[in-house]
Amino acid sequence: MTSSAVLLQLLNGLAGASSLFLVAAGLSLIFGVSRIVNFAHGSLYMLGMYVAVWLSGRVGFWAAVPLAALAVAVLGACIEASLLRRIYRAPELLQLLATFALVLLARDFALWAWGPEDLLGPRAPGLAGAVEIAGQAFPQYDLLLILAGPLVFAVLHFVLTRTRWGVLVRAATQDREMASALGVNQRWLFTGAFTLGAALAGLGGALAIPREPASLGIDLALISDAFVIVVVGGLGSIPGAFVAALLIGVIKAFCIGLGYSKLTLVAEFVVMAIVLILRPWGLLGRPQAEVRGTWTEVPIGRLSKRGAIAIALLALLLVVLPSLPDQYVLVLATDMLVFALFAASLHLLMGPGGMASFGHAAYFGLGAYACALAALTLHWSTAAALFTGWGAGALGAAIFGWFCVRLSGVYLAMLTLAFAQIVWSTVFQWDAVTGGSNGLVGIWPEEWLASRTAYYYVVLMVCSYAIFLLWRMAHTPFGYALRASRDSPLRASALGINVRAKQWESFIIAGSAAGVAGALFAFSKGSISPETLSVQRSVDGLVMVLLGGAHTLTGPVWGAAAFTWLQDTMARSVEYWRAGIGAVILVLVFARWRFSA
Amino acid sequence: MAILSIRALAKAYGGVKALAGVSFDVAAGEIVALIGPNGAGKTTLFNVLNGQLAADSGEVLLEGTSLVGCAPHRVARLGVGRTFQVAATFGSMTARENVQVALQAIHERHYKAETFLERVGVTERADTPCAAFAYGELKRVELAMVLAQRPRLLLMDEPTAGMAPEERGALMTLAAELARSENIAVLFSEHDMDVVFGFAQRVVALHLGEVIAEGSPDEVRSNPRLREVYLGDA
Repeated sequence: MTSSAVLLQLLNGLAGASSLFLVAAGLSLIFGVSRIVNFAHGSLYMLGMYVAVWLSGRVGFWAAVPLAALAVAVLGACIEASLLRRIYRAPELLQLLATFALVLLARDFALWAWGPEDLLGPRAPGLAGAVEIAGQAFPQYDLLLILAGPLVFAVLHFVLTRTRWGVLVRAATQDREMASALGVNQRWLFTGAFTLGAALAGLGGALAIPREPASLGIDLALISDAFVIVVVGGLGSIPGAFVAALLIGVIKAFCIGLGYSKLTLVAEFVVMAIVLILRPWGLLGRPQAEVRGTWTEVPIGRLSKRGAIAIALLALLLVVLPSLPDQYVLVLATDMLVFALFAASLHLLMGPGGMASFGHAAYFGLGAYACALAALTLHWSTAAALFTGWGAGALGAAIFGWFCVRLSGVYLAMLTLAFAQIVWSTVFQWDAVTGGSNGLVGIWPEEWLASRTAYYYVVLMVCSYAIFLLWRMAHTPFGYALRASRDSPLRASALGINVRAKQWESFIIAGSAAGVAGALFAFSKGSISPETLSVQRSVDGLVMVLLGGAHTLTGPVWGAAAFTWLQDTMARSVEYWRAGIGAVILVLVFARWRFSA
Repeated sequence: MAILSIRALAKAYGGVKALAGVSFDVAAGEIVALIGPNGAGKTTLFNVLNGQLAADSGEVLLEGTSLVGCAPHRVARLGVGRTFQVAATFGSMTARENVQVALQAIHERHYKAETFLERVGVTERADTPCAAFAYGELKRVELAMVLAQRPRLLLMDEPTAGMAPEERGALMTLAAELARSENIAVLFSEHDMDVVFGFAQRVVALHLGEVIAEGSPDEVRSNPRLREVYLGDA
């Protein structure tokens, strides 16, 4: 690589870093003040793009950019005032779910308003050409982007350090309770921070349209990038976000420039892993201040007599199910069982483990893909393929879990999501092995399991046994030690419990159970695609657990059954089913929070 | 013989010396009080002893075995029990389950949780979740958990902080009786001088990270350096 090529890649990286910084800075700002990780931040960016493309056809590009930022800011203010304000004291998990519901609503809104096709943006008038840098052509507009990042950073820095409002924001970031005890009006502060954060996301999206088309999938792709940056830079630190965005942006550009575009994910992963090992709170972050008055978990009860009878009746129903005339019931029941196991495995982490995993689909997907590859490429028997899925889930969880247990709370949630996104992207890009976006087809079990009924019984046996084992675990010494580590890590370790080791073990157990669920899923569908391990799937798992109640052992299983049915019914009958599910999640979050508060 | 030996222990936060060469011993069955004004380094010392903090230099020996560099769970398994300034229990579990966790953590199958709940006097509420306990009761449950592990050294960071005066004596009497009957070495930090002089056999006074007085309660009470630190008279 010549030095001029190096320079060009560096500039490319800096241009990409600017939009990443805008999004990550907004995310960090909102988190710092309100302690809410805004999952919908990528959606605000996406809306910024669409609005800017739409407006530039009417008022021209240069007017469209600030107007789009303004429109997204207003939307942000409305969201904060109408929804988020009600759940500031709710557990993190509920907050994250509420913002994810917004992702679904925003996605379907964009689909309704602008259709499913990518929208190409205009070129920036006056900056449509290229300049010659070190003998090579470089787009003029990218030079503007390179300047936009540091410029916004400087403005933000000024606002935060030199204005009264900024000082209050920093005070609240340091210690929310203390700031309010000193008489800071939190209401305006929170609305202001959210509005500014939304404006930054909208601006980032609007500025990006000459470089890339507005598309529906950009929301989740961007939010996971932003999570990586925020984890690397330190949550709540704007300078940290700036440094991390530059670092990641430049590394990405170099990987692409060297012709290893697939390496970008590995590079991101390696950077994040190194930073987390050396500085668990990010490059410029600091350990999270303890939040006073957190909510306490309630005891996990043993199965009541009525519960046991209900389960026995259900088991009987499931056994006789294949004799029903309607074969579709069997398809639905197979899905329900698979997702019941998936939800139960996630519950082990979330409930007894106290670790919110936002990337549980990674283990499900690893299991599904490993199983499919074992059957298709290696021609292994169905049983061997299912075991391979189990092993893949366990191995993935062992590797990712090792890093995750070093963190807690939202940091952990973001890291699990980032890992899942890395697995998703690898599967999506690795055409030769995983079939890329098309996925793998023709994954069928052996002859003797070929009938729907026979395979249904295998799924029924494996899932119910695995769920039984997971339930029983809560009352074993391991389950007690895990819950003890959640309730009070300090107390647990002073009693001789190796807290991290227990949490890591729970990751591996949960990952292997999810891997089994994924493997069973692959054979039941006959084909799998990257959607098998998308963020959407991870969040589905969270909704299932929440729907059934994270405080009970059996709840997640009922939640999985209900949610699978709901999704199936909605997807078949309603066009905008995502928005429907988003609305259901919002209602649930508010009902649950009101009920418990 | 000394159960705990602390030698030239030092720990600084940035430029502030929280511990500046602390040395003393605690013998089996002996109850030693650690006193000193706020910021003297008492909690830092406890956190270094149980492995939550790494010391900058110095040595901590438990019956000759070095504890330096051991993680908290290792220190606990070597026989060091600890109660916290703000009692820490597992809120989602009943009192009985709390003690069971303590027993399971050291693979103790011989003893029953009830035995220890009985000793601290919370048998009636054994099946109540700890989240529903009054603070005084929580302190007792925490003590039962620690005692269930039959430690050789018991560290108690301000055991009576946050308790009603009448409860304080009861809790300390309990701890002292148990320590004597099990021959446990006890080190506790305390601000309440009635508790210190009522229960300690020996007193170690810390000030700005240094031991400024050490000896029997009477010796320490009359120590001029200590009077100066506490009362400001010379």
